[in-house]
Amino acid sequence: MPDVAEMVRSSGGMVWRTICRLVGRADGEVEDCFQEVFVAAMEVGRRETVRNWEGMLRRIATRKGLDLVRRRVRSKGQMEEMDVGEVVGDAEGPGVALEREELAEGLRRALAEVKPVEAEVFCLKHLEDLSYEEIGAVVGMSAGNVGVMIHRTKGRLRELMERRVGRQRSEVPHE
Amino acid sequence: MSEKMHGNGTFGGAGSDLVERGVRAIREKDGAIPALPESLVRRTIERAGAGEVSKGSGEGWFSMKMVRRYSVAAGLTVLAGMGIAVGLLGRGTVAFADVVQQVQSAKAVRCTLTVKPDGGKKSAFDVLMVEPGWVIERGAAMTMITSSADHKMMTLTPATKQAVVIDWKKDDATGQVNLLETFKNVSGKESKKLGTREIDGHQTEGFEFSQHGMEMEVWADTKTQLPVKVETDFGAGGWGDGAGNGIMRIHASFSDFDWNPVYDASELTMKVPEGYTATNAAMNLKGPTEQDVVVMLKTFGEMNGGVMPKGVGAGALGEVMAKGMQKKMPANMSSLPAEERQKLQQQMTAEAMKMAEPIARGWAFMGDAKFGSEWRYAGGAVAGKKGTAVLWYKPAGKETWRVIDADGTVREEKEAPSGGEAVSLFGAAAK
Repeated sequence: MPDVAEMVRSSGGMVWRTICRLVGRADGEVEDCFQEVFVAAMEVGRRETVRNWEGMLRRIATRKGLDLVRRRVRSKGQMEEMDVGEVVGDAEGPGVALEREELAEGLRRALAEVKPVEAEVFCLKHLEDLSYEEIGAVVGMSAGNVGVMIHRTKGRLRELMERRVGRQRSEVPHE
Repeated sequence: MSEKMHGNGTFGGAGSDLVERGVRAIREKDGAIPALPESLVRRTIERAGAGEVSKGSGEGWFSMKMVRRYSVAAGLTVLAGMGIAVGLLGRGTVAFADVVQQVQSAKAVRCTLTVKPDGGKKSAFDVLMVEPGWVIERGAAMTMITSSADHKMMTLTPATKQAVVIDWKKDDATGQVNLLETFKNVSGKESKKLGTREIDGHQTEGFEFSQHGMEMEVWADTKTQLPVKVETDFGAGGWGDGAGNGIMRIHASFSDFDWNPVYDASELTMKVPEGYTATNAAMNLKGPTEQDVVVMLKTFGEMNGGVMPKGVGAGALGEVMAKGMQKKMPANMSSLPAEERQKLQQQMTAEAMKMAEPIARGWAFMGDAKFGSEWRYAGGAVAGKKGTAVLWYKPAGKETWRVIDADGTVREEKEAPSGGEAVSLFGAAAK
């Protein structure tokens, strides 16, 4: 088993980026989440032989990040608080930045609604750039099944995002 | 796979669909992610390596919002302790052999539990159930971990870093809290078919059964024969006034099932997480009596500063606890050192746990139809005042009323007390 300090120092940046990217902010809960990733990884390492520490850390970070997103989505208003300060300061103007924030938030909300394993596999592919084979190795599925799951999940996410956009449009008051 | 992807595996190009644009929007913010704080690296090395207590920077937040959240969590702890959450599903026999057989072959399941009190707001929990006997329920404010093998339940409140560990060994009735375990013992009889229904894109067939006055519906996929939705209401005939003043009628729904999911086995532990302060308690709900209701009322009166609160349900409990804690909190709470705040929080948790058992036992008596019906409660009386009726009910099989006064005296009357405003604890407003 690798030295904890070495592991945190060498893979900490990757774990931190993975969680922050998923959650959309860096705060106390994200810091707790970061620590939990390494605590969980060490416990897995004590229990079994880990062949790919980097892959396992990325997977645990993704799962714990998604857990946090899910909790925030279900906690009323939490997601609305995300990144508001940064939006205003974007160079391309608040309109573009706001749209981007809405899209990011919409995807996060949708990810919170699909099955955890589907969200995890989708994020490992599209936010973490792992190949189907790499994802299959860390989640214990064949590359083919990973591909099928990602394809289906994408469809479900699209449906959820489109439904949300539709709801927002219908909520806009008519003159 | 026909997805068009660019070199780095992300979606590219303008005019693509919402998912692609969402992925791009998230990734475009990568540059704004702050550098990993060195202090966090050090804390993580300490925590993961040496097992020392580590504190997230979010821990210092302390306000009334937190107190309220905590108080509600404390109330929920009591509810969960009574088996009102997933525990109630442990009492049935389901009559649909094929579905049962499918579930019996599962070793783990992840799902969403939605709990909605009558007239109240929905709360959602991520639930993971793993054999043998593990249930983890994650909500926005708290996580509950139950091990039926160990007869223990641990409630974790991240906002306060408090852990409450309840030992259920003395209570045989709360042994079953795992949906998987429930299905182990079901037979293929005594169910009623509910017909077919499409749920989340699944064609399902529904089954219903009733036991101990509780009805349960299970909707299973006609192809996989696995449940897609499991629904139940607690109690019969309507509970409470919807504001939590009575004992609530709660609708629970399990959905989004993921059978045999990948899960982190390290989460299946009753070990209190590092950084959390633990409060241990044993709770015995076996054989509740009328006297437990008297003690429950006394506890509510004391918590509410000597006046009987407007209700004695979970909603009232949350309010009363928040009020009680606010009084005990020093005015400079937020400026106290973290260690002192933690100590105070621990004291509050210990006090909450002292109240939990008498309240839970009182609820257990009132919630069991074999003891009585037509429960009425009138708040506002001064606790300890003689001759002022606070709670009354009809014992099972009797036409007379048992009346409990504000001083704890119990008397038998031919007529229900009149005058004042009373709420029905198990139904619409009392007459």
